[in-house]
Amino acid sequence: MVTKQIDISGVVQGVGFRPFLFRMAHGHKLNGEVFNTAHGVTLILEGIEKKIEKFLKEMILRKPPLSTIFDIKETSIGFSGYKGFVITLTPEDSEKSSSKSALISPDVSICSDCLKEMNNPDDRRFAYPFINCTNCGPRYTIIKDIPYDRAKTSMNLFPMCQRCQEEYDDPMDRRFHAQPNACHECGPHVFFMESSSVSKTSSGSHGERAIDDAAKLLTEGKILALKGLGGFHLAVDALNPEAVATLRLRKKRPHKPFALMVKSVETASRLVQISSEDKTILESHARPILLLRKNVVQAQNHCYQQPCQLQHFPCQTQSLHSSLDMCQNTPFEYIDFGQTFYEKIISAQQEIAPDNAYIGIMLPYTPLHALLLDKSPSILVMTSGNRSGEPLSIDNQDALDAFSHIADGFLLHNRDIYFRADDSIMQRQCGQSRFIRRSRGYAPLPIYLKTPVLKPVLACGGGLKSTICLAEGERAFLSPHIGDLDNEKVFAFYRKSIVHLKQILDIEPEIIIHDLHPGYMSTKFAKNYYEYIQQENKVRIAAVQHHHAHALSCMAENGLEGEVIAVTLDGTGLGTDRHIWGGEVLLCSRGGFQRKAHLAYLPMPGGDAAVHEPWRMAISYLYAAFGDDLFFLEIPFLQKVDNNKIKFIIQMIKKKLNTPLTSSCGRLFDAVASLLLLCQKVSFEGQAAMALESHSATINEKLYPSYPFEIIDSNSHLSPCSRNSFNHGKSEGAFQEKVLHDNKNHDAVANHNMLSESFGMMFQINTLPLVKAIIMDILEGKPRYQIATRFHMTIIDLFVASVLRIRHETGVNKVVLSGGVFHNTFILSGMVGFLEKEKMRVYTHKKVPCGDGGIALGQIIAADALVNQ
Amino acid sequence: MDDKNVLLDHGSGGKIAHSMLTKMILPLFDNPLLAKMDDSAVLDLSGIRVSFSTDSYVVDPIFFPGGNIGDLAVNGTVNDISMCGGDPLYISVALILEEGFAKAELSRILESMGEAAKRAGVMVVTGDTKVLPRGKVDKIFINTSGVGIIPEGINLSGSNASPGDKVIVSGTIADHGITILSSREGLGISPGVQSDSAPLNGMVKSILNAVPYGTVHVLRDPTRGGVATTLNEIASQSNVTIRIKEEAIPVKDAVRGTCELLGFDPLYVANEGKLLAIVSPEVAEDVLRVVRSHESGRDASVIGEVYSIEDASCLVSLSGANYSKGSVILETVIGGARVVDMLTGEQLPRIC
Ligand SMILES: [Fe+3]
Ligand SMILES: [Mg+2]
Ligand SMILES: [Zn+2]
Ligand SMILES: [Zn+2]
Repeated sequence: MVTKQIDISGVVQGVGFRPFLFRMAHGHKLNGEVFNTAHGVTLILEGIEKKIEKFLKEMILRKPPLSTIFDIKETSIGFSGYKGFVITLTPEDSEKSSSKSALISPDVSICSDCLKEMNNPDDRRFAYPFINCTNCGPRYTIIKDIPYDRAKTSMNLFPMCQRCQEEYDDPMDRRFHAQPNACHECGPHVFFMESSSVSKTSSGSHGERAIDDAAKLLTEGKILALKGLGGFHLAVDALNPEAVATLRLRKKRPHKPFALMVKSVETASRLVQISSEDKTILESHARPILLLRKNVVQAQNHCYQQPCQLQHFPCQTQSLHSSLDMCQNTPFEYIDFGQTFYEKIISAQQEIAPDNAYIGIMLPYTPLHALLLDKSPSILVMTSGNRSGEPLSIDNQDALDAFSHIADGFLLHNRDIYFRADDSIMQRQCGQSRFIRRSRGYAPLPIYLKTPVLKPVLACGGGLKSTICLAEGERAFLSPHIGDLDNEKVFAFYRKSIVHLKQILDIEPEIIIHDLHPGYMSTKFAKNYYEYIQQENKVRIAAVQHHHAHALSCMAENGLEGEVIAVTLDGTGLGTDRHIWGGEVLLCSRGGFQRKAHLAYLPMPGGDAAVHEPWRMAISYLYAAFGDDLFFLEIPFLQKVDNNKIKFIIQMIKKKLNTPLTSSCGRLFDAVASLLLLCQKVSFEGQAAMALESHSATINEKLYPSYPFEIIDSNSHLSPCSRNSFNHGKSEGAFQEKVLHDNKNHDAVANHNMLSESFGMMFQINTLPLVKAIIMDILEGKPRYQIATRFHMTIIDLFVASVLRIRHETGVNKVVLSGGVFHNTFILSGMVGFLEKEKMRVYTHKKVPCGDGGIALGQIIAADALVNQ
Repeated sequence: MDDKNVLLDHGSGGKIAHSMLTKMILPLFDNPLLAKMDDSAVLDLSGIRVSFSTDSYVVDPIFFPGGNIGDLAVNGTVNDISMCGGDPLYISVALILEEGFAKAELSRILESMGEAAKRAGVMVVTGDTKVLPRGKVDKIFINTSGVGIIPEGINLSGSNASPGDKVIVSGTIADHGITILSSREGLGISPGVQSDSAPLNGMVKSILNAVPYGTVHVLRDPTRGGVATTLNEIASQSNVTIRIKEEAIPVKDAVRGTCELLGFDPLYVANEGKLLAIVSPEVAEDVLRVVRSHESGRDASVIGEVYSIEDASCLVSLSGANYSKGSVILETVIGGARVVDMLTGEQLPRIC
């Protein structure tokens, strides 16, 4: 007989861990007790050593679905003589002070047990839209404060009925301590209102009738605003293109793809290709939106001379083309399907995600969704319910105001959403699921750092798609998606998120990190906040360059230390030389970076206007490549854009009027998309690049060789370059230790540090040969998909070539890939493939987005270098 | 960024200029009159309240559609005095000339200064001329200062805006800045677009006469930094939130078009003959009518409203660390609400 104390840390509270151990102990006939502690759960077992070992093995194998075990510590203690096994309630169950490192679970989709009960007419929770248990239901979105306890959630308004209370109190019940436990009798309920009757006092329908009415509305092709888990959605029948078009019009969202909610994976396969791995992600209890390739895509070989929009009939259909894998040699497989069915599908697909190869799909994740989709059309557009640019609505009254001109009806309920969480968006690339947006179902679970931070840190993130990150010890808590901070309400939500996370995580930051850009609202916030709390004198503040933060973010989630080569490709980030960076190869560590290579600078006529209007970058590239001769080019692009505007833009470039310089990779995508007449004006971020990607074939060096480019080193030696030519040759020119820019840059505000930056050999990548070659191909009438594909190949090639040069110079063999451009599957899989072929160790993002939603994590790990400075 | 030397941004009227003013200049001359940071100082000269202001004019080009550096120098100081409610009476003129500057151009400038003074009803009563060697100054710089008497009962200041007030702009914005930029850079100017340089003392006088004392709270001419910067200054002086509606802000189509091409926000572009009036809601219509009766006020419009910081939006204070003391919010045509901040130096692109 031995007595063992087993301390288990991780996500082990509020997920049914104690009842699970209770049931197991009874099954194994072991005595002892279990209780919550500040760090997780402590289990004491008394019995034969072998039996305890067996118990622990089984515990790890069969742990509750929502739990994550981070660490198990086993110690032998003195014999106590337990009689039976008990769950002991501790102060930790009710006092705030204790829960410091117990983790808060994200929201969880309805589990199969609850689903079964909900569909069973004999069950007392038959058709109850708020059914849940210890293994499922709302968490993060209803929690006001810690510890996680009903009184501190928005369920506090619903006292449990006797039967619910009995379940809650019974350790053998699967609802033991399920905080949101409820039933028809005692819990929240749903109601439905038509928009026309909102202002009147008539209260619409309730309960099952409400769901029937909502489903009927959807069947009629009307728009429903519906209160979900982390906020409102706007829903409409996805296979009714007219209805979808109406939603676009009313929501003022002309192009951005809509996500869909489908009744089942089988239903989704009518629109998209789904592998078994995809199915696993879709059915996981986080239930993210997963981007999947359309199963029928318009032929991609119609060329740029034709109108910008994809045509509404299938010339040839591309199918069974599951991913842009390296090994795939043929660009398309053509399969002849019946016309009418596919016409219908294509017109629906086009309306859902115009000029895009992907559609975002999710499965119902609340009981209410499941009930609705049983009765409504089985594929619904389910887009976030917000006013343009604003955060998700979470409040009934706010939604009634916001959507009175959008929705035809409202399906509401009376359980408050305390904190909003957008749907998470994922995509499978190179055999891995990756985040585009990390939010509901994932946040606020921490990312574990390899080296703990010395002091608590608040990282304020970027400007667009922002998230913040709070870190203490080895845990970095990245917030759910917040949004674009220029919007007043998003910015208010940003501040609220910081307050809330500080509170529920009980972290008081001593270091504040922000982006280098003085104009980001996050930077302004950081400085104001710092000014306010600096009296305490122990708080420090520092700026981290945007692309350095991207690189560090990828290092952090991969647990990398020391020096790496970082390829960071995105749209915009302020550089230390006050120019706009975005096509960067850095040699970087936590303490600083060297800018080793970048796309050559080009004017960005109109600043931010050039981001909204890709044609401006097209002109910038044309002017750089051809000078005033550009007017003689007989390309469709020049016929499409007003000649006077072109002349004006050239004047701006010549006179340096509001034309900052940029090395952005995103802007190069914009220029090419514009030249190929894919996109002249964007209504959402990444639109041009997405169109370009969706008009590309597959990676194939022989079929789609890259266009030429040049690498210019610090001695201005030109080396016409490709990956291969470098690999076999010797390095050109003398690699001089030369500082190219006089910019040991420090932020102007006193007490603000910035991580040091030094320059060794640096080179620039001249992309003008690439643009010239594209123009030649356009003049020769080459098909658009061919040009788009070769362009992608070139981007891959030129950055791979740069990385190899830097490896040659430095001997560093690890490379991280970060920045929003890597949402592009073609670029990501190409870079990974070619770099691995060159025996590089390649690290990519899997835990946080590669875009600006991930940079707060990178900012975190820069903090210690600053403390030690 | 170089923090040892003066940068061009320090004269831009934006955030950096603001911080040099508050951190470097104000503390040295520390006095309550300067600390008010209004367009002109309000002095008490043995019982008579006088508004006193100075400004230097270095505009390039010196001649532009709608005026030249001369009338601009007179109107600018006249307007600064007027914005404190002063009735401008006397001004001084100091000329700094470059060796070799054409006498013909100088006399054209002086003539228009004379006409502008006459139009505004002020006398040029003292002056000075300096000539510097070629290249030490660009053609001509002019400094003007002036004084005016503030009628009893008038109390205008950027710190007087209070919740409920209406914000009125006296006409189309960005005309001056776009005209200057276009003529300097040879961009070609659309017909009908010219500088709005004009004296505003007549308009101010009739506003103040038309409504009861104390109902006009703030008058400001949104010159450098434009409407956005001026409103931000007022918002922070008064500790309020100012919300403006994009659709209500008058901008000439041609000016808007040029701004769009340049990637400029008209809210940040300079004006020389426009004023912003922040007034009690009950007199807003009267003020609007009076402004519109003036030649340069025909396109006047109510563009927004003042809110207290708490009820302006769902702002959440972070243990007291609100993002700023006052702020300006623009409700856009497409339906979002955007924070309109002071410029932080040059307009660096931010969006991805
Ligand atoms: Fe970025
Ligand atoms: Mg002035
Ligand atoms: Zn369940
Ligand atoms: Zn109940």
